Amino acid sequence: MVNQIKGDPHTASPGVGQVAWVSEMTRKRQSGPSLRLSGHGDAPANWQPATTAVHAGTHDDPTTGAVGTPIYQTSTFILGADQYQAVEEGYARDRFIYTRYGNPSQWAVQEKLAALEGAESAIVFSSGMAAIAATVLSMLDKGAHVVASNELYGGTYNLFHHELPSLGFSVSYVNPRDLAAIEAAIGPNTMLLYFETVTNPLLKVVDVPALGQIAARHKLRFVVDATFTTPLGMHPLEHGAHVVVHSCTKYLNGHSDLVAGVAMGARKHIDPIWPRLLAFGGCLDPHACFLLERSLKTLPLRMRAHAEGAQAVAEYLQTHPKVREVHYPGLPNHADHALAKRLLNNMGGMIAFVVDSDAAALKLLNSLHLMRQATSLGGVETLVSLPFNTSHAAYTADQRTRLGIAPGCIRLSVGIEDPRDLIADLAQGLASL
Amino acid sequence: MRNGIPAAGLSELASEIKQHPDQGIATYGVNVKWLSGTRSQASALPMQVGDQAVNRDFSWLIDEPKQMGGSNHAPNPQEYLLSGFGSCMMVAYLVGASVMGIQLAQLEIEVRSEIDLGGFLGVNPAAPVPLKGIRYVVRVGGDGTPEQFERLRETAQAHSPNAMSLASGVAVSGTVQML
Repeated sequence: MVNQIKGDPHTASPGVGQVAWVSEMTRKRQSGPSLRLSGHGDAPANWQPATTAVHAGTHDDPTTGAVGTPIYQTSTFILGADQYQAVEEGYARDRFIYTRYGNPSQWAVQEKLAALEGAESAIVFSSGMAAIAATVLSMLDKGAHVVASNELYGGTYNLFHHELPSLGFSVSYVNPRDLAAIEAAIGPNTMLLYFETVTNPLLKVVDVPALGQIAARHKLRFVVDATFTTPLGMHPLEHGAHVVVHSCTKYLNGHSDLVAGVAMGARKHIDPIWPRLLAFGGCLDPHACFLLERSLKTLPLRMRAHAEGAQAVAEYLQTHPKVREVHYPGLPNHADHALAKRLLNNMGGMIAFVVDSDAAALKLLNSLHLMRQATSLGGVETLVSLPFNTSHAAYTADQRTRLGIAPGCIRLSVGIEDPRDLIADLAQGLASL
Repeated sequence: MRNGIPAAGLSELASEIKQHPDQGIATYGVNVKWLSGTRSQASALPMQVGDQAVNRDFSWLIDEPKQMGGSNHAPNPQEYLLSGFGSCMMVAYLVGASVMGIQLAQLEIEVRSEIDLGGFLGVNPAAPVPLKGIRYVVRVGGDGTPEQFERLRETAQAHSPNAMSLASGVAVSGTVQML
């Protein structure tokens, strides 16, 4: 018990003490860390997403045979010579030492997420913002500059606008769809491009492969927040992103019952984030890992339902006389429909639509019976909110107009309910206007 | 981590570079700007390591002692050269000790050299312009044997880019641009 490997059995000492110089050491990077217990070997590479979602990372209890990953509700682990050696030689991420460093419940869900995303490695965090903060700060050196979208999620904007300058970093905000402006914003101290796959709330589709080419040309790191599109919609790592971050709170967990985040990419790019997980402390609790892992098993089913429901609701809304605009990338008349069809395998469940005024929008929300008036998105239940008094409340009306957010704009996160019931709810609500 | 050096990470980097040699190419630069008299300021230029641009927000002052016409406000170019040698040797020594499994308690490298100003000033054709050799001593404490520490010194010198640049000489070339 004392000397057995408590961690990833595929990883070992690089040969310290047996060699005279670095060239003689034998350790290579590999995917994980993983307990290598899921019993499926390297099969996830060949599985369809629905199979990956159920089986990747999940392992049966080796002691009792119980099906499914046990919840390892512990803060610490019994230490032995193998873990001490891992700490001394710099591969502590591959061993269980302390739950902030790593825990089998974290590893199981990380392995499932990485398999879905097509990534070598993943780290789960206690929120999407914890994932974003640790990722970004692992990629910046003293005095570095970031080029980011000017339509960032508000939480990310707060981090970039209020915290990064205090640390000596600078950020340029540019239109995520203006490639020339993005390239022009890159300076000699630029180290990072940071963009989101789809903008919030108007669902403009961002050309991630083109951004990946810019990053490669300028030798920049490229981080993509793919929360809105999920691994079922797009794999940004295949388009030049180095790290993909998600708020797992949204579609990945999908049940509006936990807060979590994840950063995924090549082991080379995720290993440097790990010390920031330790330093900033945003680790995910084992019980939350269990809930997230369980939820992920139905992600493909849920995403199909979200997209089908959103398509039906969007088609209904665009025929309604009291609706001025409908933004959904699955609609043929959406400005980015062609790009969305090229890049996205799933159009998602987010819709923005516009009624006469903010007052009319508020009235509509208050007359809905089924849809819940709440912020957040990606849950099984349909949520409806107004950018003007939630996500974009910090902006003036003029600023919102410049971003394309018209008065009366409503954000709809279509759940997995039967779209006929959602349409009926909207019909009675719109009738009140 | 032993000596604060991630041995596993070094092994992984070595393996990556073996497979993708371009990931082992690091390009550097400094810009040295005249301030006044013999005083100048060096600033590190953005670096590239493999496929990544790395910002280098560092600058430092250089001066000459009063005896050589300066104000003695900062180390002089020869001292920077020697510190560049000594610190590069130190990284190599630390890496070597860490992969050999030797825990260091103390490590100092003292580097000495001299120049003949007659060479710089051109007043003595027999006086050499270059440094008259570089001598260094490694002062070390740790759980290695004297034989291991000496072997480590030889290995460190053989793998130190700065030590080997000085020992074997590298081509130097330049041009002028009008401001």
